[in-house]
Amino acid sequence: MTVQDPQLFIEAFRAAFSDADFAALLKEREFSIQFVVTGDAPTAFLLDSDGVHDGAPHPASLRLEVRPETLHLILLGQLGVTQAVVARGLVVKGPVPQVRRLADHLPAMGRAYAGLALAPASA
Amino acid sequence: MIATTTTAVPNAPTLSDLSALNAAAMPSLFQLPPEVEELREEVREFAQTVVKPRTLANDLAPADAFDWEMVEAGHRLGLLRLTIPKELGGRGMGVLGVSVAMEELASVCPSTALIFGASLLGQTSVLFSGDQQLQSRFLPPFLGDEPVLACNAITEETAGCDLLIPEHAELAEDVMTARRDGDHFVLNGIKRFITNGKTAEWAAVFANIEGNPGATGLTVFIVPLDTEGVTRGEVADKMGYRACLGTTLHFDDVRVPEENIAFGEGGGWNYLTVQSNQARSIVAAMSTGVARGAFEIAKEWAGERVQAGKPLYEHQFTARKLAEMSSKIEASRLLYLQAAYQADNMMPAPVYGPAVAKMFADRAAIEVAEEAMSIVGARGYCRDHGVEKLVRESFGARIYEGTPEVLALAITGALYGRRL
Repeated sequence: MTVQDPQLFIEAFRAAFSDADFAALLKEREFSIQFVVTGDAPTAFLLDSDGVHDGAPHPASLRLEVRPETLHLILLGQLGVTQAVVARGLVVKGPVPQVRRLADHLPAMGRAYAGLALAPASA
Repeated sequence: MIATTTTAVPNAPTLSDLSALNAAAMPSLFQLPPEVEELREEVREFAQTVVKPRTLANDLAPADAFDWEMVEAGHRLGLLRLTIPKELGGRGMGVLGVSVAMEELASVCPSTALIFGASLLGQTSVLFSGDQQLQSRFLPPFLGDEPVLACNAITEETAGCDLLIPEHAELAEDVMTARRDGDHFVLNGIKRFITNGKTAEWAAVFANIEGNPGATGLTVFIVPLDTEGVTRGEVADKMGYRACLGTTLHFDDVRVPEENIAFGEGGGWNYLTVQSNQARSIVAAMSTGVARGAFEIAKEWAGERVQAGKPLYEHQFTARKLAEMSSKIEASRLLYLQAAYQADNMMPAPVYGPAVAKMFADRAAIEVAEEAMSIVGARGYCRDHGVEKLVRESFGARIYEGTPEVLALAITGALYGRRL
């Protein structure tokens, strides 16, 4: 697996569920996100309070169509969500105010992702 | 013999009372969220009781006169913090809420609507940047007791809407420059027709990073307008929109710290297109308001004025005019509501819907205002009747946030799958 491999995102988000606060926040807000990672190997998965699901098993609060390199930077905290939109790396579909909620969830997702994505480089 | 007596039409429904029409007469596919409906009622009250009595005086005042009292009253209502999130102390409205508020204001005075709209547009760059240090420095003034304005500085002597056309970016001439000097940038250039330029505390300024051809290095700088080197120049003596001040801003070796950049170096062009697609719904709403304001004057007159023994609206030719005017207003409103809804549910906002809404509503405003004047006749040609002002102002929206020519490129670009 390489950095920006969609499978890495899925693994990272599954890992994020070990963060109790993250799981609780998703459940409390009934918040769900459908990711459509574009690029050479388009991948869709859905994140909700029950975990990470392949495809789109049900409608989500937000749908994010995102380039892998953009999601990589967002999760590492190097690019803001709205800046990613302006830079044309991300399209958000769903109530725009929910994007602020997404920002609340990013740190936990980012920590899990950084642990996986950066580990090979530091090993 | 021309009859001059008048008779009122009892209980005539008013087009402005959209919710009453919907509730009383017909179901609507499009129901406004309760908080937007509440805002509309608040802004309508403000427009009718505060703005309307001052409209004529503000229109006749010298070009550089500014009605701070009216802005202060709007600030108390929250119009200068409409889009700031609630958790930061604002009203948390999206494009739909702003659009509906702008229709209400513009139905009385589009010029007043633009004072508030231009300030919100300036704030958008700070809000949209997601940059917390920028937000903590530049948004709090709008949450205080005193009214503070922002502005958006794009237009230049030789560049305006064409900055939105991709192939024009390299060809743009004499665009304001930004030269890096250590951890600062030095801005030089002139901005023209900047709404609120005379009165704003700070501006979102679009400048091209030196070394990039044309406008290909367009970058957004947040610049306090009391910075050394900034001069507020002449106010344009416009045919309409006289309550808001379109001002020339001179930038002579203005030093701006790099942390005042909103979307990174070179991020200005992408942001400009995102911003325009959002703003077009709002301008379409303002044009809808202009048309509605003119229509309401004509409708009232056509209900009162008796010719040949019956009110004007019973004459077939006038009836047809009123019916067509009403149809155009309803169509304009539905188009802008749909476009605003899309902008609140998609980032970046789509190109097509807002462009179509603005193109239609801008044209409809001119046509409806013209017909309103023809119905009211000689009185409508006089300055104290209100229609004459709206006729003049109906042309304004065709100039900013995309001329019809630029909108046509945007619409056909979307139809043919080409980005604009």
